[in-house]
Amino acid sequence: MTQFVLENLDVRHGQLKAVKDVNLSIGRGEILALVGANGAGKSTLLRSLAGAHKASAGRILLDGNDISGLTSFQRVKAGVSLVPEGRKLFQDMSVEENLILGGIAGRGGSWTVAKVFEAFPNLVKRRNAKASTLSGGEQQATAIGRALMSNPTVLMLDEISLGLSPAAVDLVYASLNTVKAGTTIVLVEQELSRALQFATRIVCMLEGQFVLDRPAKAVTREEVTASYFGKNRGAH
Amino acid sequence: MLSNLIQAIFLGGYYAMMACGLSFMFSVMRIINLAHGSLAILSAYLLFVLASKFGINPFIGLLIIIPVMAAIGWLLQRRVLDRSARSGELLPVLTTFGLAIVLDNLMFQRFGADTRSLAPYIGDLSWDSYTLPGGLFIGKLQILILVTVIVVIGALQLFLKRTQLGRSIRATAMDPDTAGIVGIDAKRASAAAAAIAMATVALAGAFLGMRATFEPYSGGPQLLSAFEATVIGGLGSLWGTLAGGVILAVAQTLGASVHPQGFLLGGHVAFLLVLFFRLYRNREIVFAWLKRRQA
Repeated sequence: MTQFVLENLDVRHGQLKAVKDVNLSIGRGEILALVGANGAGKSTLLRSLAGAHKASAGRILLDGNDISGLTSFQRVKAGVSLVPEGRKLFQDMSVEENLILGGIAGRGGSWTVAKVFEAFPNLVKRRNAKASTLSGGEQQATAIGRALMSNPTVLMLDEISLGLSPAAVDLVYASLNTVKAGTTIVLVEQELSRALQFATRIVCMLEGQFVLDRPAKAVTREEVTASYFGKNRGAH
Repeated sequence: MLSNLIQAIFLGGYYAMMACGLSFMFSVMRIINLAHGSLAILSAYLLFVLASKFGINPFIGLLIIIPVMAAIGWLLQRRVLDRSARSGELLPVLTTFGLAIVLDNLMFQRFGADTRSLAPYIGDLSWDSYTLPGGLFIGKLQILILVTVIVVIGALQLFLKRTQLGRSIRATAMDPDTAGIVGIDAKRASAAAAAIAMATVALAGAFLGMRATFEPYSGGPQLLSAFEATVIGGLGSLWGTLAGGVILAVAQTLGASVHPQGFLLGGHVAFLLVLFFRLYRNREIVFAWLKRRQA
């Protein structure tokens, strides 16, 4: 059953069209990995889905309702939550305060501060530490926990392994595996092997457009790499 | 001398009362509200009208004027400052400067050049004092002001730390874009902060009217001392603002003891010393900024 639909979506950075007329429909519980080279428009697309960057044309539907006109905080209320690139925690606040703020939309649901600490046990002892003193992995876990606190139906994750040690990335994905049940996930991941392992569907972006869209099981590394650089453009 | 010093501390409490709204607004919205002094005079006039026309005691009048000023703050943020902030950092400063001129002249038109005071409406509180051993006199009103500012600053800190609205105001101050992504209505948080700042301005205006006199153009000097107290205390720190107010008042008192006309000068010197000391301590940042401007 489709849950999240993008129709002819255009996103601009001033004169530059970063996302060009894309269409996509994502089913409930799907885990979609968005891959592509730097500057392909992945982060811009996620930010526009979260309402942080207004799309210049097109529609975004959540469970059949048009949410394109909503601001970012209204979209969180509607059930779309983003873990932004670079974590973007509130640095002067403690881990707990960051998490509590994540629940401000008041959607209700099973996520509580206690449950986030259960899913990310490495945060427990850092509960009252300021976000600025956390390690990269702890910051990422807090950022994900903060997004989960809104009990999203669609969770978007932007570059969660960026700047983390491989061990920390393992930990983050291990926790994600425990929280993913029932939630639709859209993630931007530079590391192809992670994307192929975690996602159920791979979409490759090139110059603002989708050039490949396959179930993760039915695609090889080579095919994805080829579309990264536009080698099979037209053949798609 | 001791007596002077004690009086200076109480005067500092008054400066901090005047400054805490300015400091709060700057720390939360990065807006230096140049209409701050004029808004305090406006609330003093509103209390004066309530007292002289309707016989309402200024303390009771505050129950009406605090919500009125809060509403003005909310509207000011939503209708004016929010829009001007979109066009860069300088525009809100100019906007509030313009607002101060408009307010001053409107008040002049409405209330004339007469000097007013709320002192006649608060009974003996305006002049009564406690006598301490050693012949020290401390005005009851001065004590009330100092206690009020401590309570207000303490309550504001607690509010920012412990309540969800307080947290969202802090989050919006740090990063409005991310605040939105997390689910915070950043515009509402800013408007709430402006409302709170203006509620403190109502208190400051009331105390200004009770302890001294005011006329339509009194806002400027009030803004100046509030601004100096805020900068001395460190922009954006509320307890620092209280310390800043006291330092400013002590410096003025020392200035006055050197020369009868040294009162204001002493304060300005302290302000400039602190300012240059800060610039010197952060000289790397300052030079980097200057270099970027040249490039």
